[in-house]
Amino acid sequence: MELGDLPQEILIEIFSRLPPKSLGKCRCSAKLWLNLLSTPHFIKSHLTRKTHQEYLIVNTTFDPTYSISTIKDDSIWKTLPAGLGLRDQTHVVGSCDGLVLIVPEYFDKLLVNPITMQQLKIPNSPLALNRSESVTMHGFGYDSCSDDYKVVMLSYYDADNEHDSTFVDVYSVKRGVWKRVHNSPYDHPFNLADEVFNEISAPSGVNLRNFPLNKLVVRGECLCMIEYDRTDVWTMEEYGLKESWTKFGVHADNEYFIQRPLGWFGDEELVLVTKCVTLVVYNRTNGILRMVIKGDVLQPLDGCTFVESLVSPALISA
Amino acid sequence: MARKNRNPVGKNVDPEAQKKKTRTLTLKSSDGQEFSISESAAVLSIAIENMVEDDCAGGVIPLPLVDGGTLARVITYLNKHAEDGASDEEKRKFDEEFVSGMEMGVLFDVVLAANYLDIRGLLREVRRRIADRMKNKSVEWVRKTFHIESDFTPEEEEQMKKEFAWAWEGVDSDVDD
Repeated sequence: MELGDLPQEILIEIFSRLPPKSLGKCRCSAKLWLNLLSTPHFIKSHLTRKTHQEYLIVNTTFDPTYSISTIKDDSIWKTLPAGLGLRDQTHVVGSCDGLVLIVPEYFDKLLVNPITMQQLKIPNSPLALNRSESVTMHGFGYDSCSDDYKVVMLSYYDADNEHDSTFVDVYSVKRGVWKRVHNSPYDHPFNLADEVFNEISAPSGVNLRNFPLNKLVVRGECLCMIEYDRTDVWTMEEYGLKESWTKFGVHADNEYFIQRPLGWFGDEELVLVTKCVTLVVYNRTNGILRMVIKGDVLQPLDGCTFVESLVSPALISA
Repeated sequence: MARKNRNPVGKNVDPEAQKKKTRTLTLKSSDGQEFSISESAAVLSIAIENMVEDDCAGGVIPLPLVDGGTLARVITYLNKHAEDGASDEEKRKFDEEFVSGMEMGVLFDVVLAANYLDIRGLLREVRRRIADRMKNKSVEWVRKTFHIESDFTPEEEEQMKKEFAWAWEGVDSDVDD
């Protein structure tokens, strides 16, 4: 009895448990395995296993140039090559299924799998507003209805205080096209499938004056909000249900003034940036706060957590 | 698959469950070896349970896809998991030790038998164990362990190493054992 003699469904179950790097090596061992381990079916099965390690990706102002680094087990694992066209200031917008959306100030947006380094350039929308006169925000996610990844871009003119002409553009990674949708976005999460904004209620008792400055992240399947300049973390345990917002506080010493969150490792650990621009991880269960990288070598501007996967942005768009 | 509730809530001893403990079945392997096993242990395999329920067993249940050596191992597993008063912790420890000594070839035989006999817990345990052993291994280890001949040309091999260079990057090192 050899591995190759096992039925394919058992092989897929076994391989789905392996980290991507092991699978990269297995792919190199024989054509049969290269084919089996490259099918969309396998890549999806591997993704849904949810046992794979989570990494952190941050962009930094680390002297002398901007760079993007991935962090694993509290130390820098890999710095992305400068060849990605990251010559100017970039934003790490967010991740979904192991794909990270990177938005440089002046160049094409980039969808990259930081593990396999497969990447896809996303052209600027032909409808994009003039950069020097406008403000732009991005979001990124997966739409299971059309099995597609979508980039959402919100923009408005700087001078327009009324915000009554906010433009919403959606890019379909699969089809490679931008589309303008007409919908009012304020404080409403965007439904990627219907391409409309739905309204959700804020928790009772939050400071509404600072509301636009609060940061939203996702924990597991839950929406999470961290209040600006405070250490209260709100979680909407049941999506759409106002009563399900629950709160916990990050108990930080003065030396770790919390500035903003970057994301979650699993259910327990919240990654935060301090006011001294260092990275800390707060464990919600035992209340312990630890520094991610010792010393001040990294000055993160923004970032997010992502799960290691084999999902290729290039394959989706092909 | 809908399973019947075999352990109704309440303190009354289910006479049906008692009968199963005392009733024995005979399992026959592909190489003709026969094994006795209590029905309560045997029906942890959903495939066997179905055969018993359909009454197509006729005293001896033939298992033409499982050899004697593998069947003996599977029966050891089933007996432990049907044991009265074995705690979850005990069973977990047993599972750990049960698979830890097995060679890869044996693990493959057992995973195939667990799949055929539909023994979910065993299937899960063995799959996990195989994957654990494959983690962070080199291409050479994978080929040697699984008796795979590379069918890439030297040019293709070069190309692959380039395309999958990321599999060797970072601070992880290959574990060769």
